[in-house]
Order: sequence, then structure tokens, then C-alpha cells
Amino acid sequence: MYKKILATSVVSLGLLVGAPLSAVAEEMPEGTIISAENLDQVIDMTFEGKRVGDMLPGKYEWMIRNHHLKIPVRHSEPVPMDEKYMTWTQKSKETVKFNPSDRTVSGWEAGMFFDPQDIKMDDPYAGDKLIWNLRGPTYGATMDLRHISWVFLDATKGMERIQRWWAQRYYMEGRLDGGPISEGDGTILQKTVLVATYPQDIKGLGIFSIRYNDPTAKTPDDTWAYLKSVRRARRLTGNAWMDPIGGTVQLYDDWDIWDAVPTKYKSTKLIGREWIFAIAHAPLMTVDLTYKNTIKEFPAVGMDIPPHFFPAPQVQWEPREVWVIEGIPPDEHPYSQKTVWMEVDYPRPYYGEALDQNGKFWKSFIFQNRRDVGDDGYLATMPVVGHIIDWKAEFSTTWSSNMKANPAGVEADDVTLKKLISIAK
Amino acid sequence: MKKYNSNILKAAGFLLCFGGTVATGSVMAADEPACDTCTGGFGEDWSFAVSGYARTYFGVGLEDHAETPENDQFDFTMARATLLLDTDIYTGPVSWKIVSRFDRELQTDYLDSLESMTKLTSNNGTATRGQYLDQYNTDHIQEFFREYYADFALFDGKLNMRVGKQQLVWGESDFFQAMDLVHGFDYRWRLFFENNEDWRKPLFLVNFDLDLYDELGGSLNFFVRPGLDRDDDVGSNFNIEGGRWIPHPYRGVDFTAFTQYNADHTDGSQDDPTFGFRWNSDIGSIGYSVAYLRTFNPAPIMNPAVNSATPGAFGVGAMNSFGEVAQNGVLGDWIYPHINVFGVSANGYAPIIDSTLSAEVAFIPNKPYNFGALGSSLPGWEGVKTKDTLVTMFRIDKEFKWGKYLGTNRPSLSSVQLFDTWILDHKDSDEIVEFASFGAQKREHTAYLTIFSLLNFKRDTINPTFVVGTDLSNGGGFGIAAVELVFGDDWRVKLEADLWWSDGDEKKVSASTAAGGKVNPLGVSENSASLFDWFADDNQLVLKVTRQF
Repeated sequence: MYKKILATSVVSLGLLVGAPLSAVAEEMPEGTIISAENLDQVIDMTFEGKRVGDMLPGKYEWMIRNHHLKIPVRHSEPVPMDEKYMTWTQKSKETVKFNPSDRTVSGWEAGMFFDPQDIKMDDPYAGDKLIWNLRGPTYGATMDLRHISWVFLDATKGMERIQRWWAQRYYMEGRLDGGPISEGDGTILQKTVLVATYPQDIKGLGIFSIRYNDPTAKTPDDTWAYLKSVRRARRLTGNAWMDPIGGTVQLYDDWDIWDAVPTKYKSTKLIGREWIFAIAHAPLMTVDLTYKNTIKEFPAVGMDIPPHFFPAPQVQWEPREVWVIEGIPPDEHPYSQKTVWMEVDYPRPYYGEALDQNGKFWKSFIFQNRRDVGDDGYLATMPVVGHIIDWKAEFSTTWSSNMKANPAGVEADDVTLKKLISIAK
Repeated sequence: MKKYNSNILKAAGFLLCFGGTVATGSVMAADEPACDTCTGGFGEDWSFAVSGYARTYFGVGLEDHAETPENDQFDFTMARATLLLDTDIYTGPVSWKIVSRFDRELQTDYLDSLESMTKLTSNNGTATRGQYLDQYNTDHIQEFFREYYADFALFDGKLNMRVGKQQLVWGESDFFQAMDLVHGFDYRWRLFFENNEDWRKPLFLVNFDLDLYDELGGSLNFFVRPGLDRDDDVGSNFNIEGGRWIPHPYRGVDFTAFTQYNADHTDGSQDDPTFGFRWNSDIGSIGYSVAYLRTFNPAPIMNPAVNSATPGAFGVGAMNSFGEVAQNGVLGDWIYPHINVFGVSANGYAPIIDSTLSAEVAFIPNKPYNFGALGSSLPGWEGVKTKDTLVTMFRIDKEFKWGKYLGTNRPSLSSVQLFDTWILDHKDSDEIVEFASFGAQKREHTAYLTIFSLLNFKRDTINPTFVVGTDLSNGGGFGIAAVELVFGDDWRVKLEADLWWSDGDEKKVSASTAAGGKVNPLGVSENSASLFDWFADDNQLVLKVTRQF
């Protein structure tokens, strides 16, 4: 009995002593660069009151210790979303219905489908709801992926080649650019054109796809490839959404780390809510055409620093609170599982990981995001650099873009198969 | 003077292309910033961009050719260099395109041999103007400026216009032409296996595209070819100059010594406008098009020289003119009669088999064919018959996920296509031939089955291609195994094996004379040589090295 009391007292004492110890853990100064060299020193420090080690999700620590990932740290800063977007999110509360039987939604018009403040960890459909939020127009009604390039980067040899593309996505639903909320007959969710412009052998190779406004995802995408070498558009499989983009290691489904509506996946699951270091304030200049065809063209990617495909030293990471959502794709998908770490207040993915069909870690996705003000004044938060890293091949195709939200003058008729053919000349 | 200029062009061409391949490498590798106004590309209001490539081709024959006295096995059949400049200019509401190409060939020993044969059997041909390589080299400014056109939109983007020399492709079929009949092809330098934009013959067109999606759910494409082209630009060239791609056994026989192209024929004059309409729309997710086209018959048709005794000497009996009498008084004119084509195409994705299905049907009333004299040295030389013809294509495309077995980095596009030409009121007594000079009767149905698969390895840096095709009606076929290697942004190397097989019915070369010529340059009479018999001895390897910029 005395022993039990003694043991209890020791544990209690430990708890009493231990709690203040963590509370007074040393705060890591802003500007610290977390690296393999100092990770052991800073891992138990705090930053903005959170333990540093706890803000290194997934394979972060492995990438830092084994692959020279360096994380320059800055203080976090709120990123308010556009007022129209948040207003429509509140309206959605009255209209949007989630149907647990088939994981579909109805009644959505604009903004987020579900207010993230209402998401509960114990909701078995929380993952679906958050991914529905992601698949609305999150950073403008029209996306202009201006000056987008995929740079092929080998972990050992560095830059191998560049592919330049021209791309726009036009949402037909949930538009908040001052025009109609919905365009067309309501059957189309979004249309995307992606055309290669460089190098010469792929110049004029393009894709046009239509994703239908079918919450069940049973209506396959309509996709055409334009092949300039034969000057003809060719219909593609409706499963092209899970194919790689050109010769890159990025799938169309990795477009925003996670491009598919939740019902294209077998299941989704919310597995956590946590703080991580993420890039929410990427540099304003991410493609500098003054230095075209050199690594200086891509100032936000550390192409001169092995392994050549991580964010550049000037890119700062900050604590962001995120949802952690896990998805199981259909069997024919190259991945057996995808996990995304996504801002809690709005659907902005920062980081992702994918497992191969054998359940082995395969790819990581580090996306750099920043604020952009659309030509119509819309406040958008969007990805401008995406590091898609194939760890089996130790190779990355990292895209960079001077992304623009709601570019002036772009209409639904500008994102069509006809437009693809006219550009791909 | 002509020869002097030609030599300068020849030397300059090779320096430009072979030398350019190396020179562009060093220039483009320079690590210096480009001007920021030179970004080029769509979306820039005012910009100018030039890209392109310097490329060399080498072809090696894998078999001996009976026409020549030498053993041609492993001889170079082609040593070609090309410089292509692709210029995009954006000037506000009007954008411009200029595609210029400069081709030069070295006369290989094999071509020397063919030229020697030509001098013995068919000297003084007209198409090559005394320079044997004229059939392959760029020697006219319109050959250099392959495409030049302006794009602009009218009526608030409702009507898009492209005016100038261009390529307009309709239809769905691979390898063969159903609706893709706006242009002819230049089969002289290469034949089947290159990207067909390289050997399609661009034409001057006024091309309209009227957007009626809001009103009628589709768009109307219509074009007029006003007839401003050169005579050489219409129809397809089957290398009748006797070069390396004239069908066997005519290597070294320059048909332009006793026939000629005639693009002024009343039923197929280049000067006469041609035109077409195509409606594009969809029903649900099924895309379709309906089209009408007035164009030139793609293959040349022989209008025999009715007033000449020469064909009679080769066993041809009664001959008939097709319309006006041939200008060439020896054997006749090659003409491209106007045809009318009514076409429908459709495509859609079938989720149940995860495949894309495509179909195309083209009805050509009164399509011209040569006929008669099957057992003579000049089959088809009795004249021209017209027959209603229905061309049908059906294709299944499927992507196979072979990555886990083969290590491909993405699904492999594979395709099976059946292409049939049906002569509707076919009668054996019509004695229609596929192409004048070959005696196999064209059957009621001529059906080709083709299969291809594209593989991609190591992020599309190693790209093998496999193609197999066969003539289900007449036998024979072809196989292509190719691999393209990608080295960085700039270098591409492609090695290709082109293999043929036939059913053994090929037309034979006649006996040689003491002087080295042929007893009959038109070969031994037969009545069985069909398409794949023409190329039965043409197995070859082709190496293509490209430095793009």
C-alpha cells in the first residue's frame, strides 16, 4: 500500500515538475534554418509555443536527416480568404446536404461546401467533406497557370530538362468573379487546357479535359489530346485523370496534391488536426523569365543545392494548423494511398505523400503557396510551386508558375478544345 | 548557272544542317539571360519566338534490290539533313506563323546507282530538271516556306480565321486517309513512318471556324482553297521520278521521261477552287463531325495518251481518255481528278471496357480508278472508271498499365484499327487496279488492320514504339520497331526498323541488256502485285538525330 502511494506520488511529482519544464522549453528564434546539422538541438525547442519536432509531419524528419532538406523558419501570419468566398461558405450551411449513403453533396453554389469550423474529428465523413471543399474553386473562378514549367531534377545530377506549358482552368460552378455564379447548363464543374510550348518535340502537345458536375463521379471526364505532329485531337480514356502529366512524375490527380472529387476515391478519412511547418508565403517571383533556360529562372527552387529539388533557401516555412486526410484511390490508380496536410481554415494543401501499390512510400509533394490578388480584386491563396518528388527514382519534376487568379478577359469559350487546337500550332 | 547555284545550295545546306546541329548546341548552352521580351508564346500580346531543329536522317537498306546491278544490302539509301524554323509572332489581335524548312541530301552510292539506271532506261525526265536530288532537296521558295498564315478573330471571337499556307486535317484515321483529304502527301523522301505533318503538302487556304456552341451546340469549320498554289502542291507524290521510294520494280525508272503530272486537267485543275464544310458537335459525351469536301483525288490517276502508239507496244489495247486528251504524247498524264467526299466521324469513351472508340465513314461518289490491261506492262492504262466508294474506319484505343511488369512510367497507349475501302458496285469485269502500273485487281473490299503500342520508360526518355499492319484482302504487311531516346532539352535520337512482308506476288524486274539497262524497264507483266508487294524488298534501318532549339 505504501509502495503504491509512493509510486503515485512520484508519478504525480513528475507530472507537476514535467509540465512546467515543457512550458519553459527554449523558443527557437525566427530565422533558424532547421537542417540535419541542428535538428537534434532544435527538435525539442518550441516555436510559437509548439514543439518543433511535432511540426515535422510525415517524412519531413527523414528528408531533413537523410536528404538535406532545410527549413528556414518565419513566424506565421494569418491569410484571410476573400470575403465573398467566406460569405458563400456561410450560405452553404443552409443549402448543402451531405448524403452518407454515397458520399455525395447537393445544394452547393459557391464558397466552401462545408464550414471547416463545423468539422469534427469524430465525423466519419469529415475527410469527404474537407476534400469536397478542396475540389470547389478554391483560388479563383479561373486559374491562369502563367509561365508554368516542369523542371526535371535528378537528386544527383540536378537539372535534366525543362518542359514549358500553357495552362488554364475554368470553373463553370461556384464562380465568384462578379459574373454569374454558374455558367452553362450546370453539367460541367470545370474545364482545363494544358498545352506544351517547349521543347520543340512536345510543342503543340496538349490536353483538354472536362470534369462533369456529377457528385457521384460516375460520369467519366471527357479528355482529348491534341497531337501537333499529326495535327489532330484524339479522344483519351476517361481514366486519364490518374495518368502522369507528360513524362513528369506528377499525375493529373496530383494537380493540387489532390485533384479528384472524394467520390472518385474508394474512401477518405480525417486522421488528424495538427500544426506543421508549411510554405504559405512563397516568394512573389517564382518564374523569372529574365533568366530563361537557366536555373535562375526558378528562384524558389534550390536547383543548385543537392538534391536540387527542394525549396530554395529564400523560401520560408511557418507554422500552419492543418487537417490530415488520408485517401484510398481506386484499385487501378498508381497509388494505394494518398495523404494530404491541408490548412484548417480553408482548403489549401501544403504537403502530401503517396504510397505505391505495395504500400511502400513513393512520392512526397511539397507545395509553395502565396496570396494573389485577381484582376477583379479577388483575394486568392494559391500554389505557385509544386515539388513532386519520386523517392524511388530520387527524381523530381518540380513545377513553377507565376499563377494568376481570375485573369481579366478569360471566358468559358477560351478554355475549350478549339482553343487548345488554336494554341497548339 | 542552275547547276552552280544548286551546288552552292547543296554545300550551304549541309554546312547549315550538319554544322548547325553542333553550333546550336554551343550557342544555346550559353548560360546567359535571354531578353525578357522574348518570352514568346500564346497569351503574350506582342512577342516573337523562333524554335525549331536541325536534324539528320540516315537510311540503310537491309536487302538487295533487283533493279540495280550492285548488291545494295546495307547501303545508305538516305543521308538527309533538315533545318526547320518554327516562328510565332504575336501582334495584338493577329498572330502569325511561319514554318520554314530547308532539306539537303547527299547522293549516296545507292542513289548514284539509281541515277545510273535512270540514264540507261529513262533519261531526260522532266520532274528532276536534270538534278537527281531535286526530288528530295529544297529548291523552291514555296518548298522552303512550308507554312505561313495569320490567325485572327472577328465578331467578338465568334468567327476565327486562319488565312495563308497551312495544313488542315480532318478525320480520325491513323496511317490511311478517309477524311484527311484536304492535302496530298509527299511520299518521295520517306513514306509511311514519319510524323505526317512533315510530309503533308501545305496549301493556301482561307479557313473559317464559326463558333455556334451557344446557338446550336457546335462549330462550323469551312475552308476555301482559292487555287493560288503551285501545280506541284496538289495531290500526293508517289516518287514516279524513280527514286528510292518508287514501288518495286521501278527503282531507277523515271516515269517523268514518258509521263507527266498535269495539274491543269479540266477535271482536276489546280486553278479551280476546292472547299469543304465540317460540323463539329457532340451528343452527350459522344463527339461527332459531319463533313463535305471537294478536293483532289489523293493518288495520281493515269490519263493515258490515247493518240500514242507507245502503250500499244507494251500490250495495252484500247485506251480511253478521262476528259481531255493527255498532254504527254508518250504514255500519258498523271492527274488528280476532283472528288466529292461526304464524311461522318464519331468518338467516345466506353467506361465498361475503359477504351476509346472512334469511327469514320467517308462516301466518295464516282471516285476515279485506273483499269484494264492487267496482263500488260502497263496495267491500268486502258483509262479511268469511276466508282462509288465507301471508306470505313473503326478503332479501339486502350491504355494498358504495364508499369508493374515492364517498368513503363505511364500507361501505354495501344490501338487497333480496321480500315476498309469498299467499291460499292464492284465487278471483276471492271478490272480496276489500285495504282496504274500494277496488275492486281482491286477487290471489292480492301481492308487494312493496324495495331500499335507506345511505351514510355524513365520519364519519357526512352520511348519504344511498335506498329504492325496487314492487308487482310491481299496479304502482306509491315512492322515497325522504333525507339526514341531523349537527352535533356536539346537532343533526340531515334532508331527505327521498317520491315515489310509480302505474299510473294511482287512484280519482277525484267532481264538486263548488255548495256546494263533492262529489256523492259516496266518489269515483267503480272496481275497480282498489291500494296505490300510494292515494298517487299524495302526492309531498312533509319537513324534520326535531332538537335532542337
